[in-house]
Amino acid sequence: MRLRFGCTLGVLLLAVFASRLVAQQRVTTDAGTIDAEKMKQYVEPRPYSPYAGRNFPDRPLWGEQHLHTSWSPDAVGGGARLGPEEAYRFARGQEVVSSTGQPVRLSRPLDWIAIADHSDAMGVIADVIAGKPELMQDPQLRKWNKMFNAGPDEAMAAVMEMITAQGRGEVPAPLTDPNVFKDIWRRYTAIADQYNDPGRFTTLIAYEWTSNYGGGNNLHRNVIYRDGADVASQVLPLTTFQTENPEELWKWMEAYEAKTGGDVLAIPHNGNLSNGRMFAVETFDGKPISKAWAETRMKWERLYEVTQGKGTSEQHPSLAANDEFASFEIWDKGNLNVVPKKPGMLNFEYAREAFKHGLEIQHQLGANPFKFGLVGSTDAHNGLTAAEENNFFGKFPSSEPSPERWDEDAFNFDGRIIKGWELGASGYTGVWATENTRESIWDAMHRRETYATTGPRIVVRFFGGFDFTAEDAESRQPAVTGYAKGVPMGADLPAAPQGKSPTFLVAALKDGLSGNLDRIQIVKGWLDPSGKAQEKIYNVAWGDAEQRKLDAQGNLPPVGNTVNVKKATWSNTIGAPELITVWTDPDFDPQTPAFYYVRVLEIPTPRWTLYDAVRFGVELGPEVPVTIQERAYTSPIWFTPQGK
Amino acid sequence: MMRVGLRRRAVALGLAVLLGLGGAVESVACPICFAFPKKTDADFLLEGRCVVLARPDPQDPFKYVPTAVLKGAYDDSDFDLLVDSATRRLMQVHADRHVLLVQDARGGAWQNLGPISPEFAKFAERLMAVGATWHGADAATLRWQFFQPWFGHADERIRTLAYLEMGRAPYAVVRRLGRFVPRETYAAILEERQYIEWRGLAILLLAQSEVAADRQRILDSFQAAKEFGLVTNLAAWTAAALEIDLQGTLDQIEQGYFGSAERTPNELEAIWRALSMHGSQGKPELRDRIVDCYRKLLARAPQLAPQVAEDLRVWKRSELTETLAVILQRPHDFEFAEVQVIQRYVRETAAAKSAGLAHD
Repeated sequence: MRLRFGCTLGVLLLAVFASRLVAQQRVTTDAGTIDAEKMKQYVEPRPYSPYAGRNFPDRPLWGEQHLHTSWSPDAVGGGARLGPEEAYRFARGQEVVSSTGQPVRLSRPLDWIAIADHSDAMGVIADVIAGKPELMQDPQLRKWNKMFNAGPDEAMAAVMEMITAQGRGEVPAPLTDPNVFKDIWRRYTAIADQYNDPGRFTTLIAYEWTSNYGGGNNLHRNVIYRDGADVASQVLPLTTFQTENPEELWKWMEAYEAKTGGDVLAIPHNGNLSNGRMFAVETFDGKPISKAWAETRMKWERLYEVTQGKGTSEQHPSLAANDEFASFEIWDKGNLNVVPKKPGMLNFEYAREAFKHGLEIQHQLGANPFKFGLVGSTDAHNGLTAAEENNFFGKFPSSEPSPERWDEDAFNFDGRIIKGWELGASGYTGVWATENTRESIWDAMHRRETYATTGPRIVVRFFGGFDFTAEDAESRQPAVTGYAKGVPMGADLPAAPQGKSPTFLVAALKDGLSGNLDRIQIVKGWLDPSGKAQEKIYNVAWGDAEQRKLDAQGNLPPVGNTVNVKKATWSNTIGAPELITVWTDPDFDPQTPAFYYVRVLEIPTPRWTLYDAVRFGVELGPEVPVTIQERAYTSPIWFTPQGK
Repeated sequence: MMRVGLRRRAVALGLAVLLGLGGAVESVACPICFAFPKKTDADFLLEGRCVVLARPDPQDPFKYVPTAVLKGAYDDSDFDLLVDSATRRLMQVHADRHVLLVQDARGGAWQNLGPISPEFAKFAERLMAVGATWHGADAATLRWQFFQPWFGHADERIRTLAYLEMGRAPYAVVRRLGRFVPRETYAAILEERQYIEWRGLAILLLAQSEVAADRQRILDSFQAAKEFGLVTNLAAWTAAALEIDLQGTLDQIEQGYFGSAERTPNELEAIWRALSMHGSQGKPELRDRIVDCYRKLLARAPQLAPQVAEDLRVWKRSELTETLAVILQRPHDFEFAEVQVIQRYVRETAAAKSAGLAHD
């Protein structure tokens, strides 16, 4: 069952109202005078334990929805030898040996994971390597089996032959045989079921649909299932052998749900590598979008992966001159083929711009196609969801820890090079789910009650309403008030009461293993009178508040930097371990649609490159960043004026 | 029948084809193995109408402004190129770095060749000045002669460019190049797996190494290619193996490739490339044996008839006239130009015979 918010909210409001009555005895409202004694008969007395009877999410469940294993053809071609089983074991906290022979373990287990191997040729290369008897009937596959098992050079040659074969349309028949795919998909979903341990560790069935339409324009989507293998295995995933058009993916999702009664959602990623196509304000084939199109996209694409190894796509610094923190782990050389980016493309690649365009489209068409929540992932292709800076295991086996990886070429397409140091150790997703099950996590994703981090497990609460007061920030349990008086991240504010501005209760708690918090910011977007979207960033809570004061423009002095670059250490002597506040929008216009999301910044800590430099004793180039301000991005809360 | 166009044949005697995959990977962007570039920096610089050095605009760090014009006349046109974040950062910490922007030959779009060092900027100026004199039949020779001294240069970008350009030199030049370049200048590329497609030149240079392990690696790699049916770098490994163990390699080619019905057209084409290169510029004394090989090759791969015919015509060898004439008489799907190549060979050898001119 999906969480029924109306019911939950009603009960909580009643409880809050009743508790006030107890204190005040009699309250006069539009409905008349209510007597506390009379109300008692309607309200269950609160138990002594504040946690008893709680039915809202009380801790974020940590995981990611974008990990590749050796069942992805590019991963196995790049040397990945960890399959889904090893990946699940690693994610739930067990030590494994990486594809390059290095022991590795997470600092803490994750709560859930969605392995999203590419649907194109999923698993089949791993089967070729393993010498699956049915495939070995084909002489070409038999040959590739020998090559993969002969040595690294031969394996690489096999990969190149496969690419050549695909380019020529000469792929051996078993690789595209639906029956082979059926068997692989059945096994893939069965393994997910096998490792799914409700209440302890959840495995969401997922796959990546990998459209590189137009020569490297990243239109990738991860499809996440609410269902178990019994349902998910009834329909084969969509591949780009069938279509590269995301609108066809939505049709596939519709058909899947209609046939099976199951539930799926899609998560686009790497808009920064789409060369202006991910959040284009036109249809796939360049036609004007309609209200129906916007509603369809909003229906299926509930989330966006805002941060991962190939860059963070919150906002590009060129589009937000006043955002001093926008220049963060940006990959903007070009698309996946490193086809160079032209300046105008950036407007349709980054989450904040999409949120803004969404308001404009809502205003024009009455529907917002870009009303998505935010998640973070690794997109690692080695089976290792290792996003911590001091435990970064790269994107491919070639970028697993080594003295050279920072300076090696991560990508080189016709001389357009991305260096190894540009890879980001990012990220994870916090999901505010009521319990650690597929259904609960997926439902939280569907209602966008999620947030992204660039690796650390920062706890972030974000509620919007019209009645939060400064007193609400004094609670150690902000969610009790948050759910009672407002809506959580990912939701819509209710209609604005006359004369009231929205208030937001926001709280953040540092990751115990990471840096203190620098500040909490609220990013607001709204439409100006001409119908064009604007944005503003508000510093709403910060550490070292005695020393740091806002200037007239609302800017805050930097928090400082304690990183010891000789040792790759830092001290939590600056910033704050937790921050909480209630913020009221000072510029609210009830006639204007708006969105609000939270960005939490840590104090500077060592970047993975600095850990490499110290551990391997290598000297980095001066252009290589060695510190990082990790961060979290919540899903927005939207406000839509009534009737718009 | 596998198609091998004559356009490719035109460069077959150059080494560039060895460096490619020998066939068909067209611009596949791959994060696992980096494709061999179709154009080098030198191509862009020499073809470009205008070349400028640029840095981020102090007023708008996401736009480029020119700091020096290296070639042509800058017309104040908008570059329409974004200063990406990594480059912006690089420029912030290196005041002496620039990016190299090239306007295409028609004076249209600008291309960003990326950040360069001051050394490369000087080198680029010199390249364009000298390159402007490369015309006519000697152009290719002058070009590789220019690049040879830069092979192994300390500047990575110059070194890479020289590697790519020397890969275009005739095999007769390449097989002497090893004497002038230290082993470490090319050995490293043989260890970088992502650059497997770039290894051709390094493999041929490895054949000139005095290190016993290098020679053994060549023989082992040729063996592995034969055993596993590898195509990638097969021509280079074969050519290298022919350098260090001529008779043994020829025996293996005859037995392992021409004696096996399972060899693919791509493998046989790669073997032809290696033989052709040696027959033309490596070891002409081998031609008797190579012609014999060609006879067997044509029995397995008649689609290579145009390439073989052209070699034989240049070498003035008439032994396979009848074989090629028969191939042409059978049903085939050669392109018109390919038919003409075979016919020319048949016609010229026939004319030579009737004129009493001796072919080899």
